[in-house]
Amino acid sequence: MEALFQIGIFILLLGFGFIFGRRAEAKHYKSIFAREDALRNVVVSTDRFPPVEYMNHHSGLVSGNVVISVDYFKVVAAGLRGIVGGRIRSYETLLDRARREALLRMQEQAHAAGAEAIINTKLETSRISGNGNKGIASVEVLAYGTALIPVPMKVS
Amino acid sequence: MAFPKQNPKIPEGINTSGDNPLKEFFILLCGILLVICAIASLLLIFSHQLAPLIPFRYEQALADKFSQLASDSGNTKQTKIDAELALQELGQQLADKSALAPDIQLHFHLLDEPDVPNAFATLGGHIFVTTGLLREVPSENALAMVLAHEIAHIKFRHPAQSISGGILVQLFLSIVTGQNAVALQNTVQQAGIMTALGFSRKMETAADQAALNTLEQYYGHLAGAEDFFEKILAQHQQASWQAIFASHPDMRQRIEQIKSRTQSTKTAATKALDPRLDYQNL
Repeated sequence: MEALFQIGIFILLLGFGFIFGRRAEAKHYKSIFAREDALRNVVVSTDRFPPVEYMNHHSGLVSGNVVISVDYFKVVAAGLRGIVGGRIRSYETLLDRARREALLRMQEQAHAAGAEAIINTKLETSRISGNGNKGIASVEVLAYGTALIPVPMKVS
Repeated sequence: MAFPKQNPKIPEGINTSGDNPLKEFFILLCGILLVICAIASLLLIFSHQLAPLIPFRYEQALADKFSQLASDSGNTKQTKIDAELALQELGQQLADKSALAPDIQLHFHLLDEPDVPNAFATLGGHIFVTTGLLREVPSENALAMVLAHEIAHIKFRHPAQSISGGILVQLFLSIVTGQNAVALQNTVQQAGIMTALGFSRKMETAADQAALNTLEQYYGHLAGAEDFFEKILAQHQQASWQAIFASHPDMRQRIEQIKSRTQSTKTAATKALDPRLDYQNL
């Protein structure tokens, strides 16, 4: 009886994790696609030095960071994958979303500052584990770079 | 190289896959469950062969963890404590002659049940003797036969064998799922770790033969060995004897076997019971 109860809770959590996790993911991707299109003009590059045409621009630090939680379904799926090995597909979408969201937030900040491009973009990630590795963990992705902001034209 | 004017549109599906995660999940789940079930059923099938291979200290730890009986038997009266000590001494002497594996430790306990003559061996080398049994044994030799019989059960790892199926599977599952022993605890309790376990006829016969060997080693003869069992048979219709009949099936056949061995040896004097084990004092 107790075992049945525990299995019931497990399946419930799994179902919740799957339904809400999948909904959140679909919604998030939709928003990512739309914003990537909107911010296509804020060029993101990993070049260490500004290109010649931007030589006289101002520069400034821009960053974007995001924390995305893994859901129960993903944890269980990854746990099963952990037994046999292979690509953990359920985490791949999670990290893909986190990376793109962090870049988008950085672009948004640069866009607000009037920047045309971001150079020297770096990505960092860290794991935020809940409750001594036993709880549901989340992942943080930080993107930062140097925004190149055009100098206002001098009226002569 | 010109600096791009726009971020390129990168095609989807490079870093991620569009497959439904449920598909992968169920394939993995079914595959892993299948393997687990296969291993579990193999363990169940071969549990009797595998049980003696479980290190004795695992069995001991299991018994200690889930039983207070291991440390205190609940006897507070001095005469009972003395009797338990005498039981332990006699048992230890018999155990020395039983060719036990070196890692096996025995613990003898006296159960205060004056109306139920019974003795049984359980997990972790614990042997229980009821006060009712002390009342019924006519000599030390008869008691020694009972003790040697239970020691032989421990020696052959019969308690582990008789519950090993469930335990092995549980052990395996707890290793796989990485959970602590909560589920294990329930199973052990359900299996009745500190009660009489059911042993098969083969186990009882093996224990009888080993016990007779021990007695022969210890006393040099087998006189008095069958006394207690004969008494059981003579009175087995009485309700108070049902317990030992339930835990020791095919009593009549076993007594015949014991007798066939005892009769071949010449009769010798039996030894009187240790005064500390005298039922009148308990």
